[in-house]
Amino acid sequence: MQENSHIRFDISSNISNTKISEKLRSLLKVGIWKYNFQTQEVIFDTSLLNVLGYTTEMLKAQQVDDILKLIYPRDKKKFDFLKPPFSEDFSGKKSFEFRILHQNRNWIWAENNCEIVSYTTDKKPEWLVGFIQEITETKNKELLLIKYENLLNKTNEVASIGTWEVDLVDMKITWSEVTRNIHEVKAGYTPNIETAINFYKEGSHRDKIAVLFNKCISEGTQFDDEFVIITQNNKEKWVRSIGIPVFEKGNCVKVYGVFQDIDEKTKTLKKLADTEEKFRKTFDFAGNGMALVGMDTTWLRVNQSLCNMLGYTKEELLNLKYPDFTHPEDLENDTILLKEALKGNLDDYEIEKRFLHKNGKVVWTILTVSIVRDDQGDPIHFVSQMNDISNIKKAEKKVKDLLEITKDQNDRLLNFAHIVSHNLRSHSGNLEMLLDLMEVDTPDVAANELFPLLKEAVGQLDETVQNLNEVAVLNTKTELNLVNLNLNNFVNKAITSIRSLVLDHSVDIENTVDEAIKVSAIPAYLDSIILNFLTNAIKYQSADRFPVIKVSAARNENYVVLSIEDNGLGIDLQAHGKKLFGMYKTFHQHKDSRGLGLFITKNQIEAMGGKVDVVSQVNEGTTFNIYLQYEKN
Amino acid sequence: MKKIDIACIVDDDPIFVYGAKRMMELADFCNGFLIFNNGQDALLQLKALIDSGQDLPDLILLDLNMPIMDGWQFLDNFTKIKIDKKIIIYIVSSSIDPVDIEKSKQYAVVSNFVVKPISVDKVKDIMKDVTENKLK
Repeated sequence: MQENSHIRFDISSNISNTKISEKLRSLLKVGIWKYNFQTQEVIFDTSLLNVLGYTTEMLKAQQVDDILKLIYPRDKKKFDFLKPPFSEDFSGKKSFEFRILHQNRNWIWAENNCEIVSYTTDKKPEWLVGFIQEITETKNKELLLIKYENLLNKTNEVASIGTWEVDLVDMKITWSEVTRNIHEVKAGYTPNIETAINFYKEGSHRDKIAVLFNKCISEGTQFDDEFVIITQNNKEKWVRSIGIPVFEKGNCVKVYGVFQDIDEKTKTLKKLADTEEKFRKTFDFAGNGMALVGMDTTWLRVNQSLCNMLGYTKEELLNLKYPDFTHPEDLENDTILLKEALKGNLDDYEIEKRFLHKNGKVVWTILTVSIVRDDQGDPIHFVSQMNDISNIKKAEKKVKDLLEITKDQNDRLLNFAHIVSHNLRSHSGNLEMLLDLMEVDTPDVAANELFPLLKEAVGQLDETVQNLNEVAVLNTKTELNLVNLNLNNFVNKAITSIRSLVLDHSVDIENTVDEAIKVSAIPAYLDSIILNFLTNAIKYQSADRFPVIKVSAARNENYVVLSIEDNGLGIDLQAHGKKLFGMYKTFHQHKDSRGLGLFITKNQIEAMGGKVDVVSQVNEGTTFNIYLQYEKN
Repeated sequence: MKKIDIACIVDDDPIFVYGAKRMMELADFCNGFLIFNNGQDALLQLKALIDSGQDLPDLILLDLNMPIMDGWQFLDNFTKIKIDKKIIIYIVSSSIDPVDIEKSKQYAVVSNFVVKPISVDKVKDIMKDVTENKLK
């Protein structure tokens, strides 16, 4: 009660003192408040009202709930002690910070100090007095500080930047948490100068830090360098260490600095450098021409092979643009593709392209162009590769030219054969006709001994011309007339047609051709071919043996092979092989040897898409293998 | 009485023409000859005969390879002309090319294809052939 009345006195009775304290309170932004636990009535003095920006009219003595409405919601709990149930551990004194709504609708920070000053007779709290000081400005600064500190810590953590300090006076070293983490040591770890230095990798790294640190202490030079340390866990790590000396009265008392983990960064950079080195080597020493071409088609870099290929020096090439040495006819095509690539429609392309050598010669290449993009997908440059295919091209052209010449000659030959056969035929025909007439018209002349000779000569001429004609006609016949034919039937037919010959020579002909085999052939040709080989085999029989001719057929992958084997005279293939199927070649001193047969036969076989080969031993026999096409559907 | 009145030979080879004519005379093939050196010559003269209403040949021996207008061109043009009389056409050529023989079959007016040289026997065959044809 005593104290209570004393405060009353302070506020109300001593006017001059009141005024002074009032003034002081308003300067300090301090206000006084009272609270009655029993009636829950709150009284603010004018200073407090001023602090909050209210007038006496606006905020007279109020019930506590009315005041609590002004308290920042999250701080309301701090005022719980004003109302029952009262906490057991409430000692009677409170000091805390809270936010309250200023009349200008802003939250202001305030510090409250209060104390219970009187109790009821049953020992319950009665009156509480307190003073409230506005601390908004201080509080905001403090909050900002905390915010910045947090931010700094976070940044340091993220960037792996730690701090360190060496106090040279009492030889104490302080490491920040991040620094400790980089060293991979426990939270409480404190190094001394020696152990700290020993974290640096023995050799150049440890020597370097020792020199730098000593120089820092003795000469005051700060350092900033990269080192390898061996962590507590025996891991090699790249770090950046910065040291700054602090001098007092000419003596270095302290060195502090920053410690940063740059391991990943360094390793990535080293890897990148390695990759670049590898690429550079590949690029420079590649056997094919390579170039880096900018998006504006200027040459950024060229390799030696390309220089050799085009005959320019590197410097000359870098000053040229690709149209300068692209063959004019290939410029358009390349430009179109380049545009497509620039538009992003193409990532790479490959074309045959002609470049122009410095000496004007055309260089044929296969050009491969790829676009290199950055991680955003934007094109950075092109990588072009050129393979010199001039030699291949030259060879290709040679073959093409040869083919052209061959075709031309073939055409001329065919034409020639046609002219010869047609014109010769009409002349020989006329000769024959005139002789015929002469025989009828002038029997005297026909009786002359020269007449039969003349007639025979004309007859032979006609036969030769006919053969020539057959050959000429052969070349113009194509697959049009090919039909499916039963091979066995044709062999039998041929044997039957030469029955008298067979009987005359008492030859044994065995036909073992499978009756199911069919070939795609021209009937007249097939007749003629089989007949020709059979008559040949009969003709060139050996006088020492009973003549046997075996006709058989086999199927291989691409052809039906008809084999006609005899045990006759045989052919010296060593001597005659090349001429065997030539025109007018005979190999036997035989009266009927004409030589044209094999030539025409071979041509007939080839005209039907087949081929023929021969196996022979002199005095043992000959086998002709005739490759014919399979039947067609 | 001869079955064939006028025989026409279209050929640029004078030796053939001489020989053929001689053989036909020997065989008593016809009464008269019309000789032309190429297709165009033949076409123009035959047209003139038609226009003036004179007698047309009963038979034409046509060569294929001739200058100016060859046998095929002659056939192409001649078949366009409307004639009341039936004229038998034989191709007589030194060609033994099956392509030519096949082609000749595509012309309805062509009765046969005779390969040169011509002989007395062949002339007789033609005569026999024509006579039988005419009787039908």
